Amino acid sequence: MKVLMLSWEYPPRIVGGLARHVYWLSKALAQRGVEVTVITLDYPETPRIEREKGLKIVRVASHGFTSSDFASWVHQFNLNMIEAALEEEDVSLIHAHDWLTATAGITLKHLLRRPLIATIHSTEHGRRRGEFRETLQRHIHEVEWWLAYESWKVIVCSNYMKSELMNYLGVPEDKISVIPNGINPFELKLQFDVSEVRRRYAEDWEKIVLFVGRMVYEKGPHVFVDAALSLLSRRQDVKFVLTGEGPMRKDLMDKVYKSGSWHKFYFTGFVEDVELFKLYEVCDVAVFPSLYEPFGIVALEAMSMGKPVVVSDVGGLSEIVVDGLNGLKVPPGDVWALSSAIERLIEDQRMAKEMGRNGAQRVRELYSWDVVGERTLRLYEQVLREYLSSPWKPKRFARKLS
Amino acid sequence: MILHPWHDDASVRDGGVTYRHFAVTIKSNVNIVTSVISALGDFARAMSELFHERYDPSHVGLIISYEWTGSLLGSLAKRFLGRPLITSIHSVESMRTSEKSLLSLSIRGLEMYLLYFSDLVVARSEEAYARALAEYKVPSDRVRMALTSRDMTSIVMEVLEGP
Repeated sequence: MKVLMLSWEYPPRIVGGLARHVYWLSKALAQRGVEVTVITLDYPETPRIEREKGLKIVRVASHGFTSSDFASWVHQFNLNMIEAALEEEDVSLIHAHDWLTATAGITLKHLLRRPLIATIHSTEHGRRRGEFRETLQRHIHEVEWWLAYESWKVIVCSNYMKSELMNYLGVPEDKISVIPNGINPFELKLQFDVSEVRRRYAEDWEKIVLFVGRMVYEKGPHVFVDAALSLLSRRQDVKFVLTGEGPMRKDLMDKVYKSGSWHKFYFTGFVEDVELFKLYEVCDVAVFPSLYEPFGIVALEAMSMGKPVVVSDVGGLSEIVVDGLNGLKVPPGDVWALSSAIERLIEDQRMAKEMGRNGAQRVRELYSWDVVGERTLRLYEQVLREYLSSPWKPKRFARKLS
Repeated sequence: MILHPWHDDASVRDGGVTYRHFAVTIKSNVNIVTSVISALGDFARAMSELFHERYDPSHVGLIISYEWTGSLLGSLAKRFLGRPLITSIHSVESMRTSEKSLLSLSIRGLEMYLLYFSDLVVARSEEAYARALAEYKVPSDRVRMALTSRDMTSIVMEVLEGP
């Protein structure tokens, strides 16, 4: 089986979580004997073509043409993806990730007459909370609809995303397959001096409460800061560390400064993976107060490190955390509930440790790339069986491209 | 056979010509570039139906496309069918606008790429001919001028019949 995997990001080009997702998924599939060719965008000082045990990476020019705007740029690099993909032979199916590779995915599907599978990681409707004020947003929404419509199966990472696709893109339920994102817990094992790192962020007597996420409204950093200020009015033995970059960061820093509790906060900005994993290791509680969250891979990262988590009862986070077993859930945007939940975990160390252990176990059982790769392969096999028994395939004329 | 984007899928025969419309899915476009490129998937669908199910692609002798918008679809047809592509241009971007907006630069970039990718560029005016050579530096042996439909027909027949 040969799969063409289309993704606009792939390491070392990392924009969001998609690069790591495609990287680990492709590896897991290659380990299972699938021949995977990833068509992605170029990156400075990285070869155009790389090969590694069943895995081939083809990087196409990301800036071959002048682009007037984001959408034009996206469609233009899709032209380069199509050109590169047509050089591949004996393709069994095409797997496109998000609207960013929809044009290439759909065009290749029809030219090669091979099934298209799409993973939709989030939707424009969800990201914009249903408000499309600009043409670009409507365009993206329409392309997402088109991608889902043209796909044989659509993969989403959570039941929450499944209902989003059904409600906002009109995708029939039986066309959607829920396969969670994976993480690789072994990747996170690091050797370092815990107390040295801890002292960089807090005094020995302070508990560290960690927020990880982009500083954008949907991730709820403002809810975290409000809950932190609320908790600080009751106790002082806590330090709040906010990791991530984004447009809300400066306003939140101003707010904290004006509150007079600035010494209880640490805004790290963007940190590299190694530092992030150290932060997970030294924190006492990890908090994810998102208002919109298709999946919540950061919560899984914290859980895999054996940390108790407090999450909003929203989206994918709702499905990752079983309240009272591996963390606590609070209503999204509820500052009082969030500060109380954080306090519960700080107070009850035994409960926090137990939840941390349960969380790590849950990650191993449900969210390893082994599990995700196996489930994806089974879906590929199902689609190919359906495809082979369907009348829609290349026929009559043997063509150069197929 | 004439393939062109429309609001629905349909085939119409008129004399010896088959007109194949294909419905364009994406309606809310940011600009002409997103509009043309996002029509590629629908164009591929139309070609796939025609050449996997109804016609032998080896019967296609030549692909003729009009302006950069048609040439973008034509370039996909060239890759799909492996036949020579002629792009007919009545104008180039610098004749249509003097502004140097990013959108215009974007169209110029695509236009240049597509003229290079074409096996033959047929300019339908003297100015378009001159600009294809001067601005896009298309090799002179791949640019011809056809001021009348008779000129165009003889160029097409020449290409079809070969040297």
